[in-house]
Amino acid sequence: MTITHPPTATDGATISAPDLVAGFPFPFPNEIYRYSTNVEPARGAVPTPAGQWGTAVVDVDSEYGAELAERAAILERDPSRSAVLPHMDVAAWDAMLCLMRELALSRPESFGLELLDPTGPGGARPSYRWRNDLLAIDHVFTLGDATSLPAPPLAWIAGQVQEDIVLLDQRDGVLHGDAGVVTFAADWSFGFDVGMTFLEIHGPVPRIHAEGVITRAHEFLLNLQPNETYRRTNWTLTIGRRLDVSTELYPEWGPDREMVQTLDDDAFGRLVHLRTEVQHLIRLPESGAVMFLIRSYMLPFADLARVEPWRARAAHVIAELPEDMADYKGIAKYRHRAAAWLREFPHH
Amino acid sequence: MVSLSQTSLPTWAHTPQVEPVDPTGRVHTLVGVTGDGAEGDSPTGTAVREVVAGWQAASGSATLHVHLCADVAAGIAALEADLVSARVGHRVLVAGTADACLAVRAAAVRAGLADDELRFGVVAADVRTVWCVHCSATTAAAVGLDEDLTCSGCARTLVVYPHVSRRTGHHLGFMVDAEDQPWEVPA
Repeated sequence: MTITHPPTATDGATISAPDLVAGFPFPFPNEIYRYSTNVEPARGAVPTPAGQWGTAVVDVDSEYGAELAERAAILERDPSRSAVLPHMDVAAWDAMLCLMRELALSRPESFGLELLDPTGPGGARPSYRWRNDLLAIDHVFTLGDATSLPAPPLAWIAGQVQEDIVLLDQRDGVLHGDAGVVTFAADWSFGFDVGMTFLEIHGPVPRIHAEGVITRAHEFLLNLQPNETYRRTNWTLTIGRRLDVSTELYPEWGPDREMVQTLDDDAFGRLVHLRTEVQHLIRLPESGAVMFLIRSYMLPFADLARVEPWRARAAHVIAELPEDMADYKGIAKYRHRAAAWLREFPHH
Repeated sequence: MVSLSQTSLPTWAHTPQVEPVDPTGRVHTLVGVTGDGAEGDSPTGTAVREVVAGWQAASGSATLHVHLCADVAAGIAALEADLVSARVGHRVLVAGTADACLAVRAAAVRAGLADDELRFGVVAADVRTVWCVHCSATTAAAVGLDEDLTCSGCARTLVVYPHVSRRTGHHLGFMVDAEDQPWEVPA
């Protein structure tokens, strides 16, 4: 696939493809990091020293093929990463259409959703043609007719976007995480959390309750109007370009937190990644469900540090982070090394 | 320190307490999971019967369906049978150990009941059913929150996390010493 991006501020070869550096959503707008609701309207372009990010709600980059192959392999191994409770069928169709429109908006040369017949073959439901040139899909379907799709709607579209998807059903003034496909969870278990309320899902996170962050976020989501789209970011550090750091696989990736401390500077910079989650929040128009999209971007320190303002800011934020927050993010064991690595770059 | 009041654990799942009857309910299904075996009444069973009797006395003119069941499976079966004919104003009250109440709550949630249609009377909260996030086996044991137990499926040592599934009633357990395992530097 050919992708064009603005020139980057980096020079020479990076570990990551150039578009992954140019489009990296650097998550530290401030000198220090604390939890906040930090929600803003979606689609605004954010210029960075390396390029920009933010115009697309559903973003496609040069990892598209690789990440979707990885998602398929994870789902094959562990089907519990995908769930749709019975009452979430309308929301799943709603989510699929919304994601198709966003893909087409983001890359019209590769994706297209065409309304063929507003009333459909049976006279009641619209039919559409969906084109995804990157995956060689060209398919006609009838809205709400499961037999017109090759897979259930949420599973089918989850195989065509790099984002993790959670659908929140609003009942009795509370949001419930009642459907989703989450293969790239950062230390949580979607399968365990299915059906929980928004507040319960966030129960284990320190500080956010005392600071009112989660209740404010919940209030905000409850008042989201149809088609309104907002976004926020979150971040952590991940060792290796490992998208699936779910609790399920903790026995596999947990030892890396000890291993990484033994590495020389060169290996450390290649393995430790700044991981940014760009989260989009969309009120789906037909079902009234809130769609929560989580896109995980990772940039190795070796690439991050070549963008001077990123190097300096990340070094400061990571060094200053309060210990309980570093502990919850799982970076307490190596974050001071990480901050020092950034501070002392270049190492030769 | 995470405050338990903000987790997915209902208060009664860690501190035994009896919630009052909802006076707006018109029909109450009362399920008591006694744990009684063939040898007769257990201390749990006696306490559960007291809770159910208290609810009956406080129900006023509401219609009552009372089910004293020996185990969780029988309690869930009785609840599901009642829900077939349930209408607006139907309330469900469950008495038992916290573990039994979580299991019956899970069945009620799966059947579509909302939190405000459910009440619980918990007589003991020392036993927990822990779901291993790594192998999916469940292990029931007298274990406290943030304490360890051995997974009956994969034998890993799990820490009992203060996080409870609505749909199963199980506590989340994950490997406590994952970061102490041998590791290799990647090539």
